[in-house]
This record gives sequence, structure tokens and C-alpha cells, in this order.
Amino acid sequence: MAHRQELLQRQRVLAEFGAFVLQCDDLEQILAQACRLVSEALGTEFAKILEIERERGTALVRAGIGWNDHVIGHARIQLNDRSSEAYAIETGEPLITLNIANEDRFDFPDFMVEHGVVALVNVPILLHGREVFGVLQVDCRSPREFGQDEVDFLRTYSMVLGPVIDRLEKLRELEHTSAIHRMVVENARDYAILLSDPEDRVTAWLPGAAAVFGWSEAEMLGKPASMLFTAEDRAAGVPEQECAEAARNGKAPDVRWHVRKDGSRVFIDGQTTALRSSAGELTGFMKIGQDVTDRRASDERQQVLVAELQHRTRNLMSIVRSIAEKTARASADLPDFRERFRDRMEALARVQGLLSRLTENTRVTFDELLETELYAMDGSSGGVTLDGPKGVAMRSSTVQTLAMALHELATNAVKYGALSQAGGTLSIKWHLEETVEDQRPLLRIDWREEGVTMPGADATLRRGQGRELIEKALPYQLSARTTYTLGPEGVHCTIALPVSGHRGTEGDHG
Amino acid sequence: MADLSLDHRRILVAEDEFLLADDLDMELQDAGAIVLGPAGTISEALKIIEDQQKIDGAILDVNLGGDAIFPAAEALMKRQVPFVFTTGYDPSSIPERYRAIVRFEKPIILRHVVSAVGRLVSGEGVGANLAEG
Repeated sequence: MAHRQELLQRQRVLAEFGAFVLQCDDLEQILAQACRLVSEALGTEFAKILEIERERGTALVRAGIGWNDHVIGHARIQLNDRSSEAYAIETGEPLITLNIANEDRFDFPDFMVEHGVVALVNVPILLHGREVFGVLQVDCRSPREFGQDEVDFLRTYSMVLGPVIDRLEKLRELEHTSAIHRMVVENARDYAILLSDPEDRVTAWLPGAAAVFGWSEAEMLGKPASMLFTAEDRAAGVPEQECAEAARNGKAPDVRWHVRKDGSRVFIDGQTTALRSSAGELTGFMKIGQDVTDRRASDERQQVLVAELQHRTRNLMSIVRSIAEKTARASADLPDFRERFRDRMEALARVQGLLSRLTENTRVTFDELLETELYAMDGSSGGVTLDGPKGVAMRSSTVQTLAMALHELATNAVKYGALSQAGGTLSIKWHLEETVEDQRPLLRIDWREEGVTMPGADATLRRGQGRELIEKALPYQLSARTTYTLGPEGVHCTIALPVSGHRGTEGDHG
Repeated sequence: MADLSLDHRRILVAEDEFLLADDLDMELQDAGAIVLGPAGTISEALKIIEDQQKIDGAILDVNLGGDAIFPAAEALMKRQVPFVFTTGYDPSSIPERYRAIVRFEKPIILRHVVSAVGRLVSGEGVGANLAEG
């Protein structure tokens, strides 16, 4: 039995250790202190704490007293059926070795032999749920008979140590996790993240929020989060509705325009989440949102483009059918129909080609349109003179109709007019006429054929589509004023057409 | 044809594409109707509605040169004149208020549109919307 004096001292050691761990959250310091106190209490030269490294099948010397520098934090013990530590861990019971010279069950690591260890006690350290953390070990340089009361003391000491380690390990994990969370949150610059209290006043304003909205943390803390909403939404009570919905359902979507510090608008795709204490009381809100302004603008542009394309295609089908119908009505027989129809389809295809080359901000110009049509006349444009400015921009909605009208004029000239005879000439003049304010400028086109020997009634634009396009379609669809006369020397046609006037400045509708 | 539902009926046509307006014009005339218009702009359409004492029905293109036809649709509804829509755009571009109006998607089949107007004018229903094309 131990002396009363020794028992008192051990009790003092336990009390001292208890007091120490209350003040200290550093695991290394606590483990070192534990080793120091236990070696003092039992009068051993050494003490150490080994932590199991399960993946490696080893135990690392985490802390100790009496050992050389290279041992603590470096020395490892293999946990196998020849190690006393593994045995103690396995059985969960203290294991005493009186003299390693007489021990044939176990091998002992070199560093212990080098330090002259002769006797030792292994006591497992248990965590929550009886999981083993490692081993508390005391070692002596001389053979020693450890009494039951000493072993009991070590067991008690280890029982105190377990929960302390457990608490600190969990704390360390938590700190690690929150450090990662903080790092993620602070680096998520594309996401505006903020916290608010139950009255929706800002309590945390993270860097992403500052980047998206332009307000600094100092400017926003304590301010109502509703100031990020548009005036319309504030007037309609949207901020309050979102918080109420989040309080009711846990979450509420926040997908709408918001306002930056500089007054500009930013489209946020986000969510408000209600925060509650463990007792269920509402403690505030967390708001996370992404700035999707650019993505949204590009989506909208795509939608407009698709709608316009769809419209243009449907319209084109209607026109093709209508041309087929009208051509059929004016044709003498099928070969006649075939020639005229193909001719018109080719003209229509050329216009589509011109229009499809356009980018968002460019327009087809009148000279391009005219040249495309004349070029298609197969080099029979020998007697043609062109006189007018380049670069007169056409509204894209007008291009198709005007091109079809020019096509009818040109076809007629090739077949029956100025370009069908050696002496014939065709002069096309145009100029831009500025009009009074608020009105579009007029493009005046003058198409004059001369030197044509009139063969008779055939020289007129064939009945039907050609003349109809000039006299009816251009005024109806393009608000143009047109004249068409058949003089003694050939066709004279004038067109006065409102245009956009400048290249690439105007948005219009098809 | 025995169908006389459009005979001497006064039908407004609003359509900005000349060729299509002309097609509808002729198809309606073939059915015996008197065509008001065709109107290529919203202001022309509104003027016809204002000027004409008697309108029996209408065919309205939803988009006239970038302007919505709805003011004209309103004026006709006020006078209880039945009409149909034609559109080259997605049906979602038509406000909820007009969802009950029969609409034909372009490219339209002329005789379907004209006979639908004929049935409306003679007080028959035309059933569900006919999506064509």
C-alpha cells in the first residue's frame, strides 16, 4: 500500500492537472503537462503519450518528458502482435512490464532501449464511445514493481485525459471547418452573401456582397437589407414579403433586379434563408445571391433573336406561297411558270443572303442591294450607268420588298426593255433627301430606260406581280411614293422611300 | 359553293405584309365579302374602325410593323365585332386577356382563316385555336 503522503500527492497532481486544462485549449501543452505531472507523481524518469495512426498501423509519440528532442513528435511504434502498446489498446487494460530483459512476449522500439528503459506501464486512453486515442506510458531505467494503487492512479489519470483530448480534438476540427467556411465565403466574390437580424438589418456583409453591390461593410452594417431592392419593389413590400416567406417556409427565392450603390441595377439570382436558434427562435436571415446581369442580358438577346428568326421564317414561307400563287395565275403554261417562279425565288434567295450576313449593328445599303441584283443579270448590264452615294442604309424590314421590286424592273429591262436591245440604255440615279425634323430622310430613286424601240404592249411590266409591287406593295408596306410610266423610249420609274439614313444606327422591327 | 356566310359581309383586314394582305383580300372577295382595308399600320386600322359604321368581322395580324394590334382589338371588342388573330410570333406574345381569341399561326392557310371568320360572323363558334404551320 502506498503511503498516505503519496496518495495525497497524487490527488494534488490530479487537481493541478484539472485546473490546468480549464485554462488551456492547446492540446500539445496539455499533453506535455500531463506527462510532466504523471512522471512526477510516480517518480519515473520518463512519461509519454502515444497517439494511434490507424492508416499507418503505428503510434506517434505526441508528448513526453525525459526524452531526447528527436523523440517527441517524431518517434513511431509499430502496432503489431509484438508490441506491448498494441496489446494494451486491444485489451483496453493497463499492461505492466517489470523488466524488458525478461519480457519474451514483446519487442521494444530502439529509442526506448537507447534511453535505457527497463520497466514500463501502458494505459490506454479512451475517447467518447470507448474509441481508443492512444496510450499513456510511464517508463523507468530500473526494474520496478508497480503497485495496484499506482496502476489505479494511472487508470484514473487516463480517464481524465480522454475527455479532455476528445473536447480539444472536436474544437480543433470545428475551427478547421469554420476556417474553411470562412475562406470559401470570403473568396466567393461572385456571390453576394450577407446576414441580417430578425428585423432584416445587416449584421454581416461579406466581401462578395461588397463586390456585387458596391457598399462597404462599414456602410452596410446595421442598415436595412431592403435598401438593396429597387424603389418599386420596396414600395410593393417585396423585401418584407421575402423575409416573411423565409420565416414561414425556411427559404424564399430572391430573383429580381436590385440596386447598387451607384444607382445602377444588378440582376440577382439568390435566396433568403431563415436562421433559427436550437430552440427554434428566429435569429435572422442569410441571403446569398449571384450577379447574373450579364447572363440575363445575353439570354434576353438570344430570345429576341430567336423570335425574330422565327418570325422571318414564317413570313418568308407566306411570301413564297403568295408568289407561287400569283405567278401561277399570270403564267401561260407550266414552262412559263417554271421560268418566272425560279427567277423570283432566286431573287428572294439573294435578299436572304444579304440579310443573313448582317451583324447586329450593320444594315444593308442601297448600293449593295442594287449591285447584287444587277450582278445577277449575267453581264447583260453593259448599257447601265449608276449614279448615287454609297452607304445609304436600309431598314432591314424594307430590304426584301424593295429588292423584289428592283428585281422586277431589272428582269423586265433584260427581257423587253433597255437591256434587251443594242441601242438601249438604263440610267439609275439616287440621292438622299433630308426632310423636316422628326421625319425619316427620303431615298429618291430614278430608273430611266432610253433608246428602246417599243415593240408594243409587251414592253410594259408584265401584268401581275411586277407592276403591282412598284405601284401597290412599296406604298403599302414601305410608305414609299412611286410612279411608273411608259414613255416613247422606255420605262421611267421613280421611288421615294423613307430610310434610316445612316449606317448602323437604327434598331427596327421586322 | 353553298357557303354564303361571308356574302356582302364587311371584313376588316390588318396585315403589314403586302403579299399576304393581298392574298387575304382576294380570298375574302372570292367568298363574297367586302374588304375594309387592308390596313398595313395600326393607325390605318384604327381609322377604318372609326370611320366605318358597319363592320362584321376582322382578321388582325398581331404585329403591324413593330406595333401591337391590341388597340384595334380593344376597339372592335367594344363594338362586339368578332375577329381572329394571325401571328408570326410565339403565342406567348399575346396577353392573357386575348387568350380566348382564335388565332392562326403563320404561315396561315387562307381558306381556314376565311372560313373561321365566316363562322364567327354567322354566329357559330370556331372551337379551339388552330396552330398551323
